[in-house]
Amino acid sequence: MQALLSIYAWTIAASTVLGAALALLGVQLAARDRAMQTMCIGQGAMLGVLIGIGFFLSFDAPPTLSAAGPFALAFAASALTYVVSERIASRHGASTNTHFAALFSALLAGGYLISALFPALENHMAQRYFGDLATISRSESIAALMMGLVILTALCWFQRSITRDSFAIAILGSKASSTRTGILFSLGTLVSICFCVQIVGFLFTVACLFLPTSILSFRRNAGLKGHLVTCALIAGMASLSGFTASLWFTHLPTVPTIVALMVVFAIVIKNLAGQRLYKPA
Amino acid sequence: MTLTAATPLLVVRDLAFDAPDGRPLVAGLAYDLMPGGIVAIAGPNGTGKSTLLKIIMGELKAARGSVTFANKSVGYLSQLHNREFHIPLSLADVLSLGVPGRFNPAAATALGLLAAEELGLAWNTASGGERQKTLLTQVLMTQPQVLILDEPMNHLDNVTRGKLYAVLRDFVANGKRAILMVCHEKLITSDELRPASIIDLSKFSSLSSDSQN
Repeated sequence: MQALLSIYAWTIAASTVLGAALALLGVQLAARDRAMQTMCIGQGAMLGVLIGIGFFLSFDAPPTLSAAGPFALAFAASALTYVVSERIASRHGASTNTHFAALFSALLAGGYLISALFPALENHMAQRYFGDLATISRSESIAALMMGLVILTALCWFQRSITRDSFAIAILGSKASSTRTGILFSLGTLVSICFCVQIVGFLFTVACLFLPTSILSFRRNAGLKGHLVTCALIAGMASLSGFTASLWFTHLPTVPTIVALMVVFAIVIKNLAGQRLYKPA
Repeated sequence: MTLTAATPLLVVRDLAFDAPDGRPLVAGLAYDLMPGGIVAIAGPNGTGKSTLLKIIMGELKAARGSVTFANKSVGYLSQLHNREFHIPLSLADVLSLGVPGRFNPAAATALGLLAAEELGLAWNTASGGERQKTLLTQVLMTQPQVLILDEPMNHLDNVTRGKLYAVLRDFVANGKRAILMVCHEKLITSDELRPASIIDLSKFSSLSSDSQN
């Protein structure tokens, strides 16, 4: 077991930090009611990755281009999805999630069509959807750790202004901020989602983004810092323990184990925090 | 720019704007918001009162005309778009988000709208009045020179309305600040808060024959 842990040390560290970072990002996206839009952006990135892999596999491209090409296409596709979804949201204020769901279904169908055009893509598609942290290379793990640290630092540093924007968008109906922080948040979200879908998969990304904040939003006691810290801790702890458990019990798949533990941790902590801190008058 | 008592804090000239569906709403609107003044925007539903404030704040574009502030010290409180917020914030959290620097609870309660024991309440379970008081306190704590409020008396009971009237009177008392607010006729005629001037937006209707173009 110790040998396994040392082999996967970078991946374990990367998934723990990236999980916590995504959980913090997810709090803000959920606060802006952009969960379904994020699913669309993730699916747009999936489509870009699949087109990129299919294209570069067909033309036997050099390794550098084969690695960078899908990421560039993923970014372009998710950016296009973001622009289209923002236009939909601004043109028709009501039931935006219905429009986002329609867009998601079209993108999902697009992904499957691409995989049918390039039969070698089926394995890649499953890998990108459900992920397998055990198959991530050392260099990808280091890159994921760096990305996680950057997201975590940025979200902690700008936490107040990002939360203020989220509150203004959700409660006062303000448009997304065009300040430097607002633009950085949108751009950072796009890059993070593209990167995470490609490296750790769609399921891990979406689960870390929305599972902790979704369950903890039912807590009866209020507090911004408490919510942010617990969401990050739950996602980080679940990634660490889920990955370790999947190494110990080899029949357990990594990402579904992490997601299952995330649900358990979130429910336990939500109930514990509620009982300890909530004092009826 | 050096401000004197005669320098308007907000100048609106020849403003015309439409509803989101393209229906013309207002044309030829012009006024100056002077220091120490309270200007109330009144008019029936659908005359574009809230739209006017959004145009003044730059959230929407006007079809024609200009809006010029003397400086950037402007506090704006729109009507609530949603009531629930995903993050379980306390009222103190909401206040601290809007205030630059370290949040001082004593300064928030000193304004007289919120009591100290209310600061720990959760935003999502607070009443409409408690939420409105929180947002009003938040905008007042930024100490703006111009306060722009969209129906600030919504959800407030009579006692709290009385407190808010006093706060607003104090706000303009030094003669250096001003308030522009959308409110209903009943408030305008109230003895407790007599605005310096009233803009009846229906008189500037693009469709009205007596438009003051």
